[in-house]
Amino acid sequence: MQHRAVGRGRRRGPAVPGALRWWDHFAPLESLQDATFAGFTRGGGPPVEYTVYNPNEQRQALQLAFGSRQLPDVFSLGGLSVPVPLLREQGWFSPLATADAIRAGLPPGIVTDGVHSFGGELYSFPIFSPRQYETLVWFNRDLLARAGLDPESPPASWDDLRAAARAVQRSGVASGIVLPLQFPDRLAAFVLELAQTAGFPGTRTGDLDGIDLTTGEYRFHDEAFLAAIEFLLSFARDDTMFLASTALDARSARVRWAAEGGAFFLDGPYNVGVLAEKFPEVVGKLGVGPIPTPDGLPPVLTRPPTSGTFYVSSQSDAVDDASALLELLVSDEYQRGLAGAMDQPPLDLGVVAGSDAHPTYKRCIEMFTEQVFVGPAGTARNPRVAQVHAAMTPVEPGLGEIVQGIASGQITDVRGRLRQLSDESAAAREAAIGEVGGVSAEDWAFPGWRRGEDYAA
Amino acid sequence: MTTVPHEGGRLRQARWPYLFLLPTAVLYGLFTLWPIAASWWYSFLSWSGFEGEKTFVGLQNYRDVLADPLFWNSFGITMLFMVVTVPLRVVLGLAIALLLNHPRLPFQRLFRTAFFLPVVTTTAIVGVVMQFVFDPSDGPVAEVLQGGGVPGVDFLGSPDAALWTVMAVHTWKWVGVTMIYWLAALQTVPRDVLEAAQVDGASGWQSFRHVTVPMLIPFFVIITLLTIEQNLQIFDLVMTMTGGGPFYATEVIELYIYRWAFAATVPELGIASAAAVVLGLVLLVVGIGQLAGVRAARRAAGGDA
Repeated sequence: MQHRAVGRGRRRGPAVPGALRWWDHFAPLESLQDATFAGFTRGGGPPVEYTVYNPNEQRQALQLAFGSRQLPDVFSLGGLSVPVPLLREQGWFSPLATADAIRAGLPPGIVTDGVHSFGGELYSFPIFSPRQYETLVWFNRDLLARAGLDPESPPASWDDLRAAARAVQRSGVASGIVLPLQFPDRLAAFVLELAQTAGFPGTRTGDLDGIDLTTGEYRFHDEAFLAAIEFLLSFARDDTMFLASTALDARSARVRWAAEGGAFFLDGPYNVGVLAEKFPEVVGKLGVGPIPTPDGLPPVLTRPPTSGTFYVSSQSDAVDDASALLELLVSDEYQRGLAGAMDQPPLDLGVVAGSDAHPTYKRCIEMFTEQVFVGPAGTARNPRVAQVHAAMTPVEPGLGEIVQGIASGQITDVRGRLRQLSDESAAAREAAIGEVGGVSAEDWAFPGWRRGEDYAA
Repeated sequence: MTTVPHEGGRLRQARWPYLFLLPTAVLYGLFTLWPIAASWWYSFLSWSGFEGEKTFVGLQNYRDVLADPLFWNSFGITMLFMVVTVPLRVVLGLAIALLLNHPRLPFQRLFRTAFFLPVVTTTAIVGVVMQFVFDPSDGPVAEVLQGGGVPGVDFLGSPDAALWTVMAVHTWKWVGVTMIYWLAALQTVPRDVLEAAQVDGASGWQSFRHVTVPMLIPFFVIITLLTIEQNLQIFDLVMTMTGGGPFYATEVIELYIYRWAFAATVPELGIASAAAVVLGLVLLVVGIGQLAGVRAARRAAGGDA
């Protein structure tokens, strides 16, 4: 078997004949993966050739590797958003050989048919919890104190956050807030989550973005979206936004915020994990609060079940070894390691409190446990939903780009533009339903879903 | 007395040039001809690049591309970019060349190097560095403007300024090449003709207008056409400076193609290829114009330019 580095990922160590090749895009997990692979090899498994990619580059590498039959034995999907059931149908994956052992190691109710298993065979499983969100309010405690604010009681309502940003800006210690305005995906995530705090009965991630879960309709033009966008962009109007925000993506925004460009920063729980790795001197100043809500009441958010994290390639000739390696990921030791790495929350949130994770990370997990509920997955009810999403012509510009256009003043009729997005998305879905067959718009409606409760199919 | 080579030996000798051409021919075929042919074929397919399965859709991708307002937006931006930067580069390049060609100018080599240095700098690095230079929070440009009491301008984040900023940086980066072309062209103006004009009492302007300019016209045509072609290829600079934003304000056709091929949620290689073929056709028209221009220039120069 021949080994070679593909793309611009960072491969660890030289190519070893007979090694398992593993690609993923989880930079904060690097040392945990190294330790796990070393343990696997010590226990008699083959060595692992491990490559960490930038998510966007991994997507391109997978695209090329599949076509040239060079897929690694195990891979994460990186930035790839082609529905998993479709990739499976096209022969990307092998079913896991150690399915029983893996199922036994997972908490009950995690493996979902149509998401992780197909036709009774297990293809993947999540290592992360669905209970998480990305619009956490991170702040620099020092800057807040210097601006005369109390770091112990972070702003809870939209108005509170605006007022706090104004106070920081006026004090002259820094800008109020840093936003990653050049990164449409993250902007869309913020708006989808903020709209839920304003009462939109929806969720976020992939297939169900902008859909009213009670009716299955696209409702990007709902009042809640308008309010969320208005709030998100109010910082520019208030002159409390870090000026360079227009040219920042999530990573560069984090760096500028860590360098005290602004006091507040919206980001996911992994913010502290990245900072601990790259800017340890900042970690002592960190504080975190929940996603702000219009009225300051505790937020209630919905996330669909987390999809599988790693897959074994259909092109692999070492499916047994690869499956045995994946079995290690459901162990308590690995889950504790995940907590310590402070990336996305581990599947078993209970291990975090006792881990050596930073207090802000533990605080995030506490908030997620109370505030995030597991919603429905469209593909679990009717697998053809996945084919519809794969057949849908992408609607461009999407939500994130539209928010950028509003921010830059190029879109002035916000309501009209969002309605157009809803209409175009609905039309694209309708066309794809006609093409796929055996599925209807009803399959996107979940009348039994209740906000603030885990969804039981 | 010369010996006539043996018939077989001549054939063997004739093979050598082809053998030496082979590597170039193979590489050119693999990395230029094959991608061109492949993108023609892909432009008739619906294919994300992730699926094994490719569906033939005929001219649908072309219809989609031509009906997409964002394609026309990027087409317009590409054309605006050309219309502004090509004359700017050609005229500015000539002005700098004339200045540097002046016999009494000191430090000529230093200036030539200074103007040429940006040309040899990697474009992507220039793009990234320019993000810092134009940073509205604490970049040097913002600080100078603030020092002068001018309110901050978001050069790369504002839709009104971003494209013009990219144009300015692009011109700064590449004007050195145009300058070198012009310097070479200026060397062909015979000194004795200029001296004869001086003897006849022509002023500096008169000898420039009536001696230098007519002799430079064939070069003007070629330099302009080369510049047009080069200014259509601006992917790396725009990608690193603005990524096509804010909200498509700097999305040139090359970025439009890239977005559909690699950056879309579900890539559509068919649409990207159709847009690339349309761009290719535009370049073909430019190329034909270039050929006609070069011929005309040769004729104007009496067939020996």
